Formats: sequence, C-alpha cells, structure tokens
Amino acid sequence: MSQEISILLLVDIDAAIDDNSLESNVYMIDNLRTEGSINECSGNLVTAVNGTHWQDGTQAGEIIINWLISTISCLPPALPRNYHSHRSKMIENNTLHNIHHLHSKQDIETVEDIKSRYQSIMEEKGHSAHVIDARGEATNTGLVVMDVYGDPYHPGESKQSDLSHQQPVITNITGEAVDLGVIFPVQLGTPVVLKDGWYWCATADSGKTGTYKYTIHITLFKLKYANGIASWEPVKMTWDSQLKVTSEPKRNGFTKGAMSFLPFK
Amino acid sequence: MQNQINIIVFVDTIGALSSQSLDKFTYAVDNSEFNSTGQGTASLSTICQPGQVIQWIICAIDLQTPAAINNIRFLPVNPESELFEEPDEQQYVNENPDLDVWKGIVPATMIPGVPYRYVFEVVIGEGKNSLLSIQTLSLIRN
Amino acid sequence: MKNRTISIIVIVDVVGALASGSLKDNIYFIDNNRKRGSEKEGTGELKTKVEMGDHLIWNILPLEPEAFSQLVDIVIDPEYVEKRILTFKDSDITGWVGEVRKSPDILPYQLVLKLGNEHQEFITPDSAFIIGG
Repeated sequence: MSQEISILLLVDIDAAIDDNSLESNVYMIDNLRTEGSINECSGNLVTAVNGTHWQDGTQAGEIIINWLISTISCLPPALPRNYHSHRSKMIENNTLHNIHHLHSKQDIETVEDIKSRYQSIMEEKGHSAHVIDARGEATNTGLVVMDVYGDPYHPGESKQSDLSHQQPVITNITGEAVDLGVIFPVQLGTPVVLKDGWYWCATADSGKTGTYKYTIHITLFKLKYANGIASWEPVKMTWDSQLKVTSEPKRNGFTKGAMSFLPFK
Repeated sequence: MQNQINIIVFVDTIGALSSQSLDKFTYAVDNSEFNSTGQGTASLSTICQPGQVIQWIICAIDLQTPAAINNIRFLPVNPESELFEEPDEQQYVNENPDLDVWKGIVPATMIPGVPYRYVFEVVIGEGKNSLLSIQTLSLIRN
Repeated sequence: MKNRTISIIVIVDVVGALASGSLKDNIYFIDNNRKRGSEKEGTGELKTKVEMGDHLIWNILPLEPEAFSQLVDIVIDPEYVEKRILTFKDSDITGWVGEVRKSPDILPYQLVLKLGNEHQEFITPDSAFIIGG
C-alpha cells in the first residue's frame, strides 16, 4: 500500500512581490499533522515521512509526495476549472451584445454620444491578459484579467487587493534531499482540477533516515500594463523546507512478531 | 493449490467516515483459485484450505485519505448456528497500524463447510470517530 | 474609489474534522493583509486588520479536494460587518462576502461549515477576529 503525502503552499502574492521574498509570505501545510509533521501552516513546515522496512532492510511501502501551490486572493477553489475561460467568453458576448444594441439606446442622439458609449463599453470589458515567457515574448491567453468577484479587473478603479492573481507555478525541486537521493522529484501532467495541468511530485527513499532540507523553485506573476496591454510577468523566487524521514520495521499483525497460524477461536 | 491467497479490501474512506459505517463502503475481493462468494462486496467469503497463507491488504479508494487495518479477530465458530454476533468488546487501538502485515497460515483444525467470520477493524484519520468495523467477511474451507 | 478587498482563505482538514468530530487543530485561516496589520496568520485565531468600508471575502479550501466542504454561515455582529452571499456570475457557486460598516476594536466571529458526504455541520471552536483601531 502506498502513502501519498500532499504539501500545499499558499502565497500572499502582492506582499511577496513587494518584498521580493517569500519570507513571511508563504504558508505550507501537509496532510500529516497527526503523523508527526510540525509547524503546520507556516513557512517552517517540517514534513514527516514515515517509512517502513522488511527484515532484510528493504523499503516496505512506496511513498509519494505531491506539491501544490495557490494564492490567498483568488476565485473560489470550488469553481469549475474552465470558469475563467467560460466567464471571459461571457464577458466578450456581453460586450458584443452591448455594441450591437448601441443604436437602440434612448439617450443616444449624436455621434459623440455613440463614441462615448462605445468607449465605456470597451472599458467595462476589461483587458485580455498576456503571459510573458522565459524569452520575454508575450502570448495572449484570451482570458480577461479578473477580480476576486469574477468581474473584469480595472486598474486604478479597483484597488490592487481585488485582483485575482495568475496562479504561481513550481518549476523545480532541488537541494540536499535531492542531492542525497532521499527524494526523486519529477514534473507530471494531470487532469486533476486543483493541480491545473502540471505538478511536481517525488518518490522517497525512506531508508535514508534523518532531517533534510530541500528548495522549492517558484514563479510568481506580476501584472503590468503597457500600451493598453495587460501582461503577467514572471518573478522567480525560492523557498526552503524540510523533510524528516524515519523508518520502522514491519511485523506480523496477528502475533506482533513472526508469522504463524491464523488465531481461530 | 496456490500457496497464498490475497484478500484486498477496498474502502471508500470519505464515505465511511461521513456515515460512520463501513457497510456500504467496503468492497472486498480475493484471488483464491476456488470460487469465493461475495466478490466485490462487504460479505466476501474466501474459500481456502489448511496450509495456505492468507494475506489481507487494505486499499483506500482516495489515496489522499489513507486507511489502515487496526485489527482482525476471528469470531467463535458454532457449527450449528452461523448467526453468532459478538458483543462489543473493549476497543483495542493499535498504536502503529502501518507496521502490521496481516498474514497467517490456515490451520489444519479448520472445520470444512462452516464460515469463519472475522471482525475487520479499520482506522481512518485520528480521533473518536476514526475506528470502524464490519463483521460480514469470512473464510470457509471447502 | 472602492475600499480594499481583503481575502481570507480558510483551509480545512476534512478527514481530520470528521475523524475527531471537531474542527480543533483542523482549520487554518490566512488573509492577504499581514503587511497592513493582520496577526496570527495560519492559525484558527487569525486577526484580520480592517478599516471602515473594506470588503472581506472568505474562501474555503479543503485539504482533501475530493471531500465535500461548504461555508454555510458566518456568525458575526452585523453592526460592524454586514455579511451577504455572493453568487459568482455564470456559475452556481456561492461565496460569503462582508462589508465593514464600523471599525471594531476586536470583534470575534465564527464560521459554520458542512463537511463530508452527509453534510455534517461543524462550528469553529475558537474565534477568528476582525480588528480595527
């Protein structure tokens, strides 16, 4: 039987970008509080990796660790995965509908009226976001920059605190725990909603008992407006965490020693 | 005759925890070469022979909500009546369920044709609602 | 200009709560206002710093995504924080938002959650707080 360990990172994005550091701006939680992890929901989480081994010393159970990352200010996790793109389409449809019916408005009398009404429709619809990649090139995502209420975000009008941020991503796991062969990290694809397509996971060698550091490489996204274009620019940071690996020997459940006959009554 | 029979007990851990019952959320299967009855249900009756090793493995359907076997204990067998119900015993809480390998040899004294029912105890999470059990699984010698 | 929106994310260990029968040690609050004065981030007793006119939005995040969890009510003094349910446009998902009518010294509040397949009701055992001043 395998044990899946989930480690969740929550980032206060605006504060992290302001400070240019994740210190006091990242909170880590795993699902092992009752199994020995300490400092839950802080930046100093130590995750308990409780392994087991057979009499000959070989590892008895497979251990898998998953890392997930999200922001504090965001649209509710309960929304369906395609909400953002669906809502962007609805906003677009609404904009087209408003433009189409421009001429039938009561208060439209002059060309100036039409121009200003059109202007306000275009402002209302918000901005489509671009994402800047590692080469500095911008790709239009087709998704409207949104606030935490599901409406288009307007810089200046809404305060920055309303912004629903582009989700950060984990780009690598390195450090002592990886170098010493305690964990073997890999990036995988998944249809699971919360994991948003790609995620990092690792198998663990619980034979290497002890406490080990590891480094999580994270890319946050900062919203920038230039020439009427909204783009998410990557900001790279790292955060260190720890694993505490232990291993206990397996034993027979009936005898608590070696295997014997079934204890019929 | 196969040396070992594996009994895999699948548990819907969230379902069982929520309703505080394993009855509707347990699906047990075995790989006995004989035709065990109740495959995929909470009433699996595994057909076996003396000398064979039986191993129980628990598998939580949601891997992020693991379950462990707290204990397996056999009910006294009365060949005349199969409907013996055990009164509630003091609950034994296993301190380290993840270390246990539930494996044992079928003894030669097993009476043929009589179901040997056992109490299968499961622990999910930690706390006063974490221990659940069923008594509908059994072994039977053909 | 609208005032700030402060997001409060509430992380729930659903299995821990169902197994122990309580939210104690199974719930954590974090907001995005630490730099402006919020305290006790990452605990069950978060103190969210606000000013009059600020908006609050609560989001529940279950540790086990497959488990059912829902925020069904917030028990908070309406003289200070007026709460209402918000339905996200083009969806059937609702959330809770609050408007700070009056800045409190230290105002305790509790959350009522429904967890698990049976939608069992839980109330936060400790209070989180809204602080002004």
